[in-house]
Amino acid sequence: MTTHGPDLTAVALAVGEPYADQVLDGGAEVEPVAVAGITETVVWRVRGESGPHPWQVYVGAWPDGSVRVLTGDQDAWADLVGSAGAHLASVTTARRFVETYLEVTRGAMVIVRPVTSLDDLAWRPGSAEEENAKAALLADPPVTSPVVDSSDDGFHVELTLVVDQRLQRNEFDLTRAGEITRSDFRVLAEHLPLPIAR
Amino acid sequence: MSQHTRHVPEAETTLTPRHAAARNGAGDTRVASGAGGNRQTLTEHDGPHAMLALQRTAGNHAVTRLMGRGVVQRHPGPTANAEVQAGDETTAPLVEEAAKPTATEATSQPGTGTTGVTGSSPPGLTGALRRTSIDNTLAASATGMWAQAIISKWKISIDYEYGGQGSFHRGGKIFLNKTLGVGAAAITLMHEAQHADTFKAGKQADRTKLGRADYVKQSIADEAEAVVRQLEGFAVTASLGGDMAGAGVSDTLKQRYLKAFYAKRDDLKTADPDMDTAKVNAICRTTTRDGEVTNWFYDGTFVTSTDLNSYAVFYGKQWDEVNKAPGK
Repeated sequence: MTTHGPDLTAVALAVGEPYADQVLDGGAEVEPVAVAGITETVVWRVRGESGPHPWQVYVGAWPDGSVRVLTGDQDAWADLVGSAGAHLASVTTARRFVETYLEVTRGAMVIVRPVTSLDDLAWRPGSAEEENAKAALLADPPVTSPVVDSSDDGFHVELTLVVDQRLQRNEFDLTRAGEITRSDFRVLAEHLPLPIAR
Repeated sequence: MSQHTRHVPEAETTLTPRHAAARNGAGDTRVASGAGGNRQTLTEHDGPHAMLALQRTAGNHAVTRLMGRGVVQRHPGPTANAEVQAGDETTAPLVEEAAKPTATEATSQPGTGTTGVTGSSPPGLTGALRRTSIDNTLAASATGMWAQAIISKWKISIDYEYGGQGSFHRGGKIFLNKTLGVGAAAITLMHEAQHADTFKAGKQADRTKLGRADYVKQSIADEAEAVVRQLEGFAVTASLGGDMAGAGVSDTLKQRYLKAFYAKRDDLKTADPDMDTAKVNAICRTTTRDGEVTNWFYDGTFVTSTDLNSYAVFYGKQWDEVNKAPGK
């Protein structure tokens, strides 16, 4: 895997002010992000932790040298994967690919975390309404285990996600080239006493 | 990692109108910088460094529009956008936004549901109309008016349509994400005004001077006060019907706040039934802020958006980074 860094000026330009200076002066970390099924390093995590709140964006480096923000932009991800080329050879690779896709394209202030069991949920003290929602969930727990099916066309992936204060079941169909051809989700529970990103 | 904040000077940048660019030839976008007529010219040949310099002074939003749609007139100072969008600031209505459904949907929805709020809300509410709607929303509550006074007192610059990630205060300037609806933007402004006030007053926690525990405590104290400001403005702002998604506080947090607040009130009234109501409220506010709300930054209620650490952990790591022994 190639891990030489992207052009920091291009990264700074993509990130924009007021954070671009931190990219250029080393105040922000620029770390490679491995994407299962893609040999080259094409995704980078840019993170600054010196201010009152940490900030983070993911950027993609296209083969032509251009750099774009991927955070919150699933279309940009699709374009990047198409440009870089992906090959998903196994169900394990397909699942890791989808999990990376979700992390890289999540909204900057949106918590997105795959879970395989309700034991993975990080509860916090809640209001009465939130505690009721938690009790209802635990009394009738949904299926949370991941599913990955392989076919000649590609893969079908099902994951359970924490998305802010809700639990949801996401389904994906994707080709072996990493093109996500269908994605949808069902909300399993919401208004849960789960952490809030600030 | 060292503290790195940058104050964007006010009254610094003016973009010339489209005809000026046209007069100077196709492909040139001209930028006049400085109220005193100290002009710079930016062309597409100046490359990314010139673009970055322009982003620093004019803001990302202005640069994006500048490069994508030609040049617009821009007054010195905050990113008001009033010069971009036609509109009467004094008569622009407070826009009522459609309420979002809150019931759990058992049926499948398209997409992933993971990218958060996208697009201005309501769509098309930009420029002067967006600014005026946010200002009108602020004017509806006591906390909103407090925020307006802080902004006026310190001449705080505000980017009402920040196109980057999140909303925040940085070095005396407030960045409001363009995806926030009017209600959420007003609530966020109340929070960031607190941080701007602390910054301008020179009271920001300094990890190079404070001990670790004091740095964490003081940092969280300012956050807790900022959250209380939001909670105090929440009910009135929400009642106006604006989109509150992304506000950072919610009715459930307000419930937790009020539960602690009323518990303290009952204790005080039991101990002294004749205690002045204003005094009771003041004590309850301080107690709830320094107890219940402060705990949210320790107990996992509020976590960082990056690695989901509590803010007690985050600020502690910040202090460690600056104060680590040489060579370690």
